[in-house]
Amino acid sequence: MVSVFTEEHESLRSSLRAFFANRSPESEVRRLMATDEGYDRDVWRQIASELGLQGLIVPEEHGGSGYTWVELGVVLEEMGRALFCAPYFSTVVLATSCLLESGDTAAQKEYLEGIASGDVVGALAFVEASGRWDEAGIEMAATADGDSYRLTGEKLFVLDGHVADLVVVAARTGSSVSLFTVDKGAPGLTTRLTETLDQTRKVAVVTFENTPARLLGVEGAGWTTLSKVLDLAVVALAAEQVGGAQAALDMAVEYSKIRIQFGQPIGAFQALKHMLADVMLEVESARSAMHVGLAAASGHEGAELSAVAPLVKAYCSDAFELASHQNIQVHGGMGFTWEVPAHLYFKRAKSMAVFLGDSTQHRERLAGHLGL
Amino acid sequence: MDNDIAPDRLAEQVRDWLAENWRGVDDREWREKVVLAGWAAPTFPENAYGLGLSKSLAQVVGAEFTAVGAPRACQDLGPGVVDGWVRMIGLVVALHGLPALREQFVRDLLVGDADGGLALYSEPNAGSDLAGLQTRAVLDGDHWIVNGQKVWSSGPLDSTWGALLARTDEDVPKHQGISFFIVDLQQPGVEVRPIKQITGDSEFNEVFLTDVRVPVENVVGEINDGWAILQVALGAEREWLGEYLESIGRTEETAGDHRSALAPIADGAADLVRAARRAGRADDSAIRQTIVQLHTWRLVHEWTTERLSSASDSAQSQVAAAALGKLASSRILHSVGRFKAQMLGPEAMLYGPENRTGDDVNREMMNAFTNSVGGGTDQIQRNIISERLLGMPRAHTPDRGVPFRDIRKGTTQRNISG
Repeated sequence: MVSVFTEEHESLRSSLRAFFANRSPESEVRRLMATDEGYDRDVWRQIASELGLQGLIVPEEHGGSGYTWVELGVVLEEMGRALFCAPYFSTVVLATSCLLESGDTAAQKEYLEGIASGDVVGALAFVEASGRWDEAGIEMAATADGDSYRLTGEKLFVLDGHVADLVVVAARTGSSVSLFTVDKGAPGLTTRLTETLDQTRKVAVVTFENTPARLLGVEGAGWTTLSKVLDLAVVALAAEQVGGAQAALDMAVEYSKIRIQFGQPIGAFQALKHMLADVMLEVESARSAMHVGLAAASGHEGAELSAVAPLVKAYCSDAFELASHQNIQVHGGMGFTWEVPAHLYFKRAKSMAVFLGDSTQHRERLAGHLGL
Repeated sequence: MDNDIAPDRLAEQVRDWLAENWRGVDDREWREKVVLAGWAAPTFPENAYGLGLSKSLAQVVGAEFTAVGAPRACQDLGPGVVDGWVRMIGLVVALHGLPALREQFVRDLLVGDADGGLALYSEPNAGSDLAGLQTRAVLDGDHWIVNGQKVWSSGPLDSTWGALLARTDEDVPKHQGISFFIVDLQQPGVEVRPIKQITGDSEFNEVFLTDVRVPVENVVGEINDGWAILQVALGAEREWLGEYLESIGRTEETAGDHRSALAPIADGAADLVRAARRAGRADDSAIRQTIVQLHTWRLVHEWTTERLSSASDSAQSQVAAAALGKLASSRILHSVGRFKAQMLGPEAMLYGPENRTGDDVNREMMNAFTNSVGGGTDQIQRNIISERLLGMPRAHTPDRGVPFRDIRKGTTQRNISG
């Protein structure tokens, strides 16, 4: 079965859609994207205490609700649709998965409850100056210091790194990669917000200067953990991208019905109808890929995550880019203005198209799975 | 027969009947017995050799016949090619035909005396805009006199009957002046010619109709109500086609060439990888990207088809699955065809029986047009998607509401079989 959503998921979806329409309307997105912090702490606490969203995939023993990536997919799709401004992806998808996949029960005990309650914001510091999203890109060295380790170096493109209470860091111990945790306020830890194309999603440079760090999981097993986390993360990102792509398509269709030129709505012209029919094909195809990805991330039988993930990332990135691009084109001159929100989706799409690796890189990964 | 009948009781009746009648020989006597007993088309009305049974009860009948190896039952549900005619044309005649036509034609079809037919719908100037058809039927006493040209009729050259759409009133808008007929093709004035396709093959015909006579009792449905009858036939055709293709798929499955929706991701890419290997280009990164893109299109197409057709049985999602799926197929077929020809190198300049590889690859490459043009072009699919799924406004059409006589038309005839 390709379809993973049930009636319960659709009911979760409609309550989330109503919530975001109320607490994250366009006016709020625009207000928050102009701030450095980038999110509303009250709303962040509310989605934890009332909706339990941060604890969705956190096991019950750690204060979460122990749901799967299918339920998380519904949440992310709706967040993507609303361009919800919050450190949710960094905390729940990236940091939480690192904790869960590392198998480090002590670290899980220490952090997961705080994440589930909304008290802890997490981030993943991985990419360096090379801009590579793979094992070879990790060059920063961790040096042993008794029971502890010390980190020195710079990590780039760290989602929500400037507001993180917990930073998971990938660094070299000898020739292999290990993961570490660093708490906010640790000596030698500095963060600097970078100006980004997509203002709804904050990115920081995180610098370590002889910063004390604790090993997460087993030394040398960092890449095994991280590669699984990245496969999960691209599937989660796909759900956001599908939500955003559908929102962009909906916007384009609505505008084509109300914009009158040559005595008729522009949506009556086949030039636009055929363009948006093609967009719909890509969005529906991306949605199917997302379903299969969520099934694989949730361990459903038959879907192998490491093979499915690159396909899902490439397809959903391309589909969101197309949908958000054509939305601007349909809006004509208005689409090129700051006032119309078409650019917000476009910038999210462009930015997420290269985040975690671009489509050609993921297709090359899939080529390996096809025996090429 | 009563639809309240318990399935067990029905099964018992069928078993008793079979015990008394089935002698293990599928001859004419047997076929007539099955038809007269109503088993050949149990869902057809009782006055058209059916029993008026629901589909699920009819399946009970089919199961009993299958159990003893007796053929010819439930042709109204079957996925075979001949079943297709029963389900498309047999159905509309059974439901809307006049008594004389119903009794003769449905019987002939079910007994097997009329197993080859031609659908006479499209015309040289009425393809995407089928309702703009110009073949005319004029009443002359107790016959309609038909003149015109039809194209893309698949079936034998010596077919005995045709399902014909012809214009019976030019003074009303185009959809309102069309009637549906069953026409005898074994008469002077009917000329069936094979169309030579771009591949050199001939799978379709063009049919010239000159003063062809159709008895008045051969009209199906009301005069000028042919468009509605056609919709019933096309709806049945879509349903049959899906099951027909599935039945072919099942055959392939037993041959080990089928993949379930969540089979390993790599399954189904072998032909593409093989083509690249043969060309020595499996390490070329541009080629690798192309292969993955093509394979991905194939996979998401399968997934979307399964997702939308199983998601709900609403008419909306069925339309979505069909139109989106057809569009997806066009891209896949054309792109795969182009890729394989590229991988062949200069051999792709060759064709014909002495150049097997070039012949196969080029035929596959050209036949992709049967999907992007046939059965509603890609452009028509995009209209359906944008208007019926996205709810975009209908295009301005100058012929809407205008009597057919007054709208702009192309020339009627074009000889394409040479």
